[in-house]
Amino acid sequence: MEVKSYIPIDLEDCLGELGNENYWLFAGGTDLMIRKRQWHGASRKFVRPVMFINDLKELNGIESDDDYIYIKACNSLAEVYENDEAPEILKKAIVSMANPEIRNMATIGGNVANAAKVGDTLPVLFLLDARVELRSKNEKRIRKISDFIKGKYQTDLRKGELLYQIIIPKKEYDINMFYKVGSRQGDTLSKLSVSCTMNIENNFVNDFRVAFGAINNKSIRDRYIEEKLINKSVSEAEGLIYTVLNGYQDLLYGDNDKRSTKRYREETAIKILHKFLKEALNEK
Amino acid sequence: MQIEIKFNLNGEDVSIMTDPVRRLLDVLREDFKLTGVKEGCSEGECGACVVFVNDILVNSCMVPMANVINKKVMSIEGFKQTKEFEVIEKGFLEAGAVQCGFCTPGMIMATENLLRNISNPSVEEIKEGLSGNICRCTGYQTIIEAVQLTVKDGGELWKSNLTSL
Amino acid sequence: MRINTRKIRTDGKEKIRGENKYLEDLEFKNLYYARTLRSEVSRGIIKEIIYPEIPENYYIVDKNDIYRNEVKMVEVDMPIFAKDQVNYIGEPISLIVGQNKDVIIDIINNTKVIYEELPSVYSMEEAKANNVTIIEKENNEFVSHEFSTGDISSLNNCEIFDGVYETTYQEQLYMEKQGAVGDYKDGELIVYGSMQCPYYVKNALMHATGYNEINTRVIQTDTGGAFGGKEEYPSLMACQVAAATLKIKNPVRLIFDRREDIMYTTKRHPSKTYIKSYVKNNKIVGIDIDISLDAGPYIGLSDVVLQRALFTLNGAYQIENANIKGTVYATNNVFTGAFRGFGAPQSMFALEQHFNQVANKLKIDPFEFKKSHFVKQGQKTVTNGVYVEKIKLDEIADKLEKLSDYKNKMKLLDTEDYYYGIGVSFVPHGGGFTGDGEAEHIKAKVKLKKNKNNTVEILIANVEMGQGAKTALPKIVASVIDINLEDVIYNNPDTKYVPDSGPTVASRTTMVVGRLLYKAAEKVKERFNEEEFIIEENFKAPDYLVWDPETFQGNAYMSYSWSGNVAEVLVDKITYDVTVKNIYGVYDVGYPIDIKLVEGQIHGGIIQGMGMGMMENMTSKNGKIEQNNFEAYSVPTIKDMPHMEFDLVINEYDDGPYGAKGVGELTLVGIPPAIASAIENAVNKEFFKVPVTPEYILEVKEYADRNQI
Repeated sequence: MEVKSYIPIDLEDCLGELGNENYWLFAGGTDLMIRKRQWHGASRKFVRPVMFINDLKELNGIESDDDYIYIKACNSLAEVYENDEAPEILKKAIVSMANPEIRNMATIGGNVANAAKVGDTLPVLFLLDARVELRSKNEKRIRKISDFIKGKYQTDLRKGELLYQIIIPKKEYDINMFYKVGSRQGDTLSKLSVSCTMNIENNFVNDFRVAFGAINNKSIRDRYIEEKLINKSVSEAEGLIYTVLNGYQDLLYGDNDKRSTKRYREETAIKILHKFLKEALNEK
Repeated sequence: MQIEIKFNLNGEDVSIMTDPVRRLLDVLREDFKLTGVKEGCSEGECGACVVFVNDILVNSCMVPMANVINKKVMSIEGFKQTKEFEVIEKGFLEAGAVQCGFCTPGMIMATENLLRNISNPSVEEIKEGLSGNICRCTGYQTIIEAVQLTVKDGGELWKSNLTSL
Repeated sequence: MRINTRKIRTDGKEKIRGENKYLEDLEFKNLYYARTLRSEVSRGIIKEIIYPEIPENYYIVDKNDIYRNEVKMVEVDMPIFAKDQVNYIGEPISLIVGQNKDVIIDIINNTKVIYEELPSVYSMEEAKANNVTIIEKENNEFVSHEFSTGDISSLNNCEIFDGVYETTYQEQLYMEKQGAVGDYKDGELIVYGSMQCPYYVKNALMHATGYNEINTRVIQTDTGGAFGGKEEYPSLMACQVAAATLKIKNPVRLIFDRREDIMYTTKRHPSKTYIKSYVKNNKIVGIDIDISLDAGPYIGLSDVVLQRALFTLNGAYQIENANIKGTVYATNNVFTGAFRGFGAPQSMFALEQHFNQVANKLKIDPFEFKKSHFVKQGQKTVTNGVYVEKIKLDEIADKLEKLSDYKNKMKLLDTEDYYYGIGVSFVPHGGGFTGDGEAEHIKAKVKLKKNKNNTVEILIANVEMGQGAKTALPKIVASVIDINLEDVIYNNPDTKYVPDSGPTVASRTTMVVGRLLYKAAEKVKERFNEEEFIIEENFKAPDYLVWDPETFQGNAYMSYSWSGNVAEVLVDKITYDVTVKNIYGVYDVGYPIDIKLVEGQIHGGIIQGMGMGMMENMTSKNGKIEQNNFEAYSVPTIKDMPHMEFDLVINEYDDGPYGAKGVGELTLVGIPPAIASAIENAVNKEFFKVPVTPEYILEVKEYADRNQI
């Protein structure tokens, strides 16, 4: 059951070869090694050839300019966490994920491209208006993360294409919250997560963002609901809390599964947001 | 597909012909007979199989051989030759932090990783540092005591390192 | 050495260094691997098995390859390989054996089994409803017992309280997976394995293969945790590898993949317990209890589990009138078995939770309410046995109150973010086999061998599985003879050399086997100047033990250990996540042979009990376990660990070594009810099942009708 493996020497080699065959891209391996398992000690069940990209120099490192931070796909979660410029809310999400060993291996690109329902960087990247840069041999495209992720394990990645980097607009958020609910206090996948930021200036809400993870198949972000509070005075915004909550309530479609229940996921998510709003709007 | 993979194992340069998709765990246990590296959950959740790759602590059940090419791998078999190990060992023995022993080599490696990053960790930091290692026997309290005893006995061994995740 | 000298574990160093060998670490020449072809349906007749072409040197081992296709446990109702019918998802049909795992996997992936599916039973309710009968017994009842004490029908003018209490599956999740290796050499069948009971395995092998006492040999390999999970299950695996190795005459290794291990090996029985209590003058004077256990399709040890659940149903209390009933039901779920506590965690959860709820309804502090019911020496058990030993429950309660600062803690209030709660439990746990089990069934025999070089070797069938037997038992021997601990040898049992000292279960190893070793060591000491000799010691029941196995009347246990537990929790007001802040425990385990080992059993039991109480939510859907890995099945991590403190009450047991009693199971049993009661105290609602998950709290707190849950 051994399949062809390809270990490219650089990005050009990688993109060139990507056009030739339908490869599984293998970065940190923390998801693929599980998903393709059959029996300990036996081969993984890769029916397609595999390409290893984890150690490509061009896919590692974090850069920035005045407007954006550019996180290359194969940075481990630990590397993103340790970077000074990485957004605080993203760090909060990362440190809640798995355990130190896994964070040392798992890549941010893997978390995104894998598009698991429970991937904790996804809602945060939705919230941060992140974009993904996709590269193929002859093309480079940039997509909004919310367009790139299409559903559970579904993305807009085309044949011959690779997730090159994640581009995050630089912005200061006064209040950052990443609230994850799992089945225990460490080393757990999300039953649900709520990410929120808010900026308040001169008693006016000038930015407000919310993303829900691990409830629907795809992270939830709704600018229309967020805008209900934007440019509102704090007291006006307070009066609109229930409008906002009701708005989100209609968007949540949780499942009953082995980790939690539909009711728990949906109600708890709304309660967490409610608490955030009360605190954020009262404190100022 | 078999290719030649070279890496450094516990201080020695080695080379094997193998499938780059194969798990580092299997190569260590089967090809090099390093059975101190244990397979517990085989999904990166239990920490029984942890090793250092280029000084970074990883679950060897999740690492394909392609990702260790030209890197430095250290397992418990290599680590037990060090001064640091001796101090940790003493701490674990005195605290009574060993029961069935299956998680223990992994706990030892995670303790080393923790102390490399934080030479005098608080209880909370110990908990975070060892949160990827499941022990089903001890209830963990004696393991925390073991780390504290280690720091008390030989903490200066790890000083001068930087704090990180 | 003296018994109270603190000693470092004898097996600590090699374990820390990763140098000791578990089954998977051992090398065998010309080893074959085996993987199990499993049933995909929960109940059905196997019409046809279509295997692909089997390459040379690969083998299918199935029901036709074994002399008697029966796993001998208490009864012989379970086949080694499915006969014509399968009865649960994952039931072994055959082993595919060969030297390349990839080829084996390929064969399994390309095998098609054609079933004629039969209707299944997936719950005890369905079993009771009896619309589908899955065993040749009435109402899908494997076995049912009923007995009573006093006369509950004579009670009148009582206030009545009742409730139905449930527990779900719990998986042992030992770190080392189940495994066995079969080997055949010079006419001898040898099975190596990770196990608790070498002689159970040997007896099962002899039954299955027709091999005899002499040419059947079982060797325990270093065992990476067991918790009951390696009590009966290894017998099945051993018989399977025996069939394979006898067929191909080469060593065959069957080690489960973790997901197989979680889904298909024995787990703690799901239970449902109805309790009705009769209260007069603020005291429970009568109790009516009916327990049901889900055994899966084979009875295995379930009758014994049920008996242990029933025999201590007065808990730590004096209840004069009791009617006790219990039934084991057959279902087409995975089959269940031994797990630390063995029935008691289920029944003690129900009883303690009921006491807590009655106390709250009577507006009496649960601590005081429970204390006012404490049983005393000379009083009777529910099986009409007499408590012959000293009972120090009052001392336990006093120490517990001080240790936990219970009275002041009771006054603690909720914070802005958390509901605060405190709960208490008191439980007994009987040491050794129930009733006349030790004397009539186990008949333990131990040997000590004095060597020329003045070392002494322990020859017993009991195993080190993490609990510390390799330290505790040598300590007993060394201190009786007064030699160094290093001069006592205790190797992993090999049935070729060791007598049958019984299984490593039921909190009996130190108490029963340790006592036999103590007596043997006294004899060794007398003759120590002789060069070389062997002392044999056999179990004899203490005179006070009276038991009628037909009617379940008399002393169900030789002795009881006791615990008092206080749990403090914080329940998040938004997410209902529960954080256990503190657990305090006070234990009467007789005399501690080694305080560090006792501490290890206490901490470990608390954390496993906490898993059962609030985290480890294992569910079965249409006969299939839904949580099959370390992520979905969440056991406590180091971050979940509460602050733990304990104290001991010394209460030496005359028939235990140095006064020691059982400790391993006791420490778990009291924790689920202590935590569940604390959560009740925090959110001011009643909870009827464990684990008390945040999802369950939400339902109870906000959708109050418990019948809907």
